[in-house]
Amino acid sequence: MNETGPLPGEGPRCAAHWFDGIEARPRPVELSVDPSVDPSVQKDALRVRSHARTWLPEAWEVEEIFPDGHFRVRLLPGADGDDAGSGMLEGRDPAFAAWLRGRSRKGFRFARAGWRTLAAWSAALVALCALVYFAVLPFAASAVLASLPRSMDARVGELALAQLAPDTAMPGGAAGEALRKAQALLDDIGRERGLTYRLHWIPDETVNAFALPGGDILLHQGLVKKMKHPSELEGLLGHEAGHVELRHGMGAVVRASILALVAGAALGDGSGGGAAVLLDHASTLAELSYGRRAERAADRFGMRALAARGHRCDGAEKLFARGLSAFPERKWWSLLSTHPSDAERAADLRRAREEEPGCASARATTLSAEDLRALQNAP
Amino acid sequence: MHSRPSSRIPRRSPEDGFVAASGEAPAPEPRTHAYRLSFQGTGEALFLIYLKNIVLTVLTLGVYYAWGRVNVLRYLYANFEVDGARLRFDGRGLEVFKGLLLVLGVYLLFLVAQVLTTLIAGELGMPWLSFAEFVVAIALVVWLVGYAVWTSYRYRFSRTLYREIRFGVRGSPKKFANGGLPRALATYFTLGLYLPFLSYWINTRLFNATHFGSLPVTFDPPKREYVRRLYKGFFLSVLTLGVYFFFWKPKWVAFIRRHTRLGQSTFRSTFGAGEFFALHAGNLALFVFTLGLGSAWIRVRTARFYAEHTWLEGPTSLDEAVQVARVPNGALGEALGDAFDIGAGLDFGL
Repeated sequence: MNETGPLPGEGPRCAAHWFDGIEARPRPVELSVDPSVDPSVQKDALRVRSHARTWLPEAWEVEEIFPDGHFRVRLLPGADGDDAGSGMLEGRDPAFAAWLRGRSRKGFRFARAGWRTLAAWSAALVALCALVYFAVLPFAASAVLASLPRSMDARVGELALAQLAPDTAMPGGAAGEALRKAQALLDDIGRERGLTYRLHWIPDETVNAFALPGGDILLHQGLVKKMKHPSELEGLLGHEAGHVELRHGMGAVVRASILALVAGAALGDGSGGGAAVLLDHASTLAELSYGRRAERAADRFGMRALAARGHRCDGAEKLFARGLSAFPERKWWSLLSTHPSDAERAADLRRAREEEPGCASARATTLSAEDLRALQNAP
Repeated sequence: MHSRPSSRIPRRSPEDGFVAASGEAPAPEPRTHAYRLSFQGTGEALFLIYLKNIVLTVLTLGVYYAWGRVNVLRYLYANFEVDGARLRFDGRGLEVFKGLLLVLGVYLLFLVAQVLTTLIAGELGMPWLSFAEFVVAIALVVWLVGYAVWTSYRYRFSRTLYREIRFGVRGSPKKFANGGLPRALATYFTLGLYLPFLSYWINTRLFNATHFGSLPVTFDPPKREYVRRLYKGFFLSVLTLGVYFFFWKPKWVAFIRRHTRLGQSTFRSTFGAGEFFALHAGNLALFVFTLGLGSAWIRVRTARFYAEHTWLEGPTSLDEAVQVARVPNGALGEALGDAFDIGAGLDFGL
């Protein structure tokens, strides 16, 4: 601690309080910058003057600077261990705080949140989210999916089935017989790939059908009621079998789980372990969309599987051409959608059918018109 | 920097013994010091800290989270102003990070123990082993929550300074967790009916262990009234579908503050049901209309509200506090508190 002479009266100055770290009592001081000190001896010499004495701390560092000009400066003990002038200076003076900002990179320097700063960080966040969602997430999800055994699909599907359709039962009579035929078709498709499909009948008016990881396919009666030809039901079953074969459901669960983990890490919620998150998301399978590419891939898989058996290939195409899903027309916003519109899918299936050599001669169906009527009229 | 009562602090009448009656010989009275709290932070600044934290946490695969947490606490604490000086939080990101790693280690140990017990139970055909493991795990988690409550509270205070004098908490977290275990189980088995007693036990233990340098904090509410107010608040709030809560909470905060002293001075709080409702309605609107992005403004509004409605008055001057020996402790408490979602904010929105 160097005792000094009178203040030079130059450089920024302000009133502050000095706290010595021993007593809470504040000591009023005046801070100034002494330009007379040779910078090679002491850079940015800070002069502290209380009513009793004036001293030049040998070393100081910024502790905190706030946007409103509030600042804290830590006075460090001298090299010889002399801590008589050490402690903390605290004051509020925008001009002095601005001078401190320009002199020190240390300390917590809370910035003024101007709209440009906010916009820049918001843009960085949006860009980062886009990067994670469109680049990192698909890559990470593919890697994780490839490392997960098929048995994991079955486990996740089992959990989802218990929550989504806890008590499905096959109807009796003609409807039951029709469903057995549909199940036989699925068995045939799955046999060559070593997969087992299980068809579940849900007698309600919901216009939907979906496949769970592992092979469970849920068919709502409401959707069957909209069909006009048994080939449409076969096309739909082939499509759902495609989702299982290509692991779209499991991929969606993995993606949602990774997203939840990333969001949890970013927002400070470390409650989800990997496996737990994976299973948690099983129940949201019904709401998860597979994406445009996945839907098209499942459409084509179903069509080819039917063509290979000599079955009609245009069932799904006709179904979509009538517009049964939530995306009936092509609007500008459909470009933002993860789901292709029905018209797009019908057109895509038509192109695929024209390219598929087996489709031209394939006219058979496993299910008959009577089977379809039985399902539509099942109690 | 002598303390001056703010104009917003209610004037005391002569009957209160605070103002000498005119025309009489003034009897020597102890000087009264009054300190009003204020919160200087802004939602924009906090939002910016949130944004930076999220970006850096994602970029560092979660590692930055500990530093981000410290940044938020540092900003919030440093904007509480009393008598021209501000609080200072001097926790470090690295210590919180180490604490988080410890918590992760404990969590993994739990998982391994659970898997091993399940495997052994299945292998040896002893299904009761899984049940025993469940009971032990519940007891251990409850004990750990008690430990976390104490250590997170202690961590926050031990890293808080005002005028460079450190707050602190004396006592043993193990003793607290041991005492809390049967009370927490009693709360569980009485379906929550014992909760007011547990709350009284926790708050009296925590507050009375707290000190600001050499000035002790004391908390001495009458137990019967404390419990009665909590029961009344809960049941009437349920019966009125939550409406009574807005009338109850201001009185509850005033009651808690009235029975909390720093040295010989007492905390005070006064706000009405209307103001409290306006705070929550505003917060809800902010949350809904900004799709949650307004959480920084919500936190700032809440902190400002409680700060502006709290003051400390009495014969004790804050100048009297002197530094006392610091009890060493790590940031495990902060990490544990975070893992169990326990705050140590004392109704200040921290």
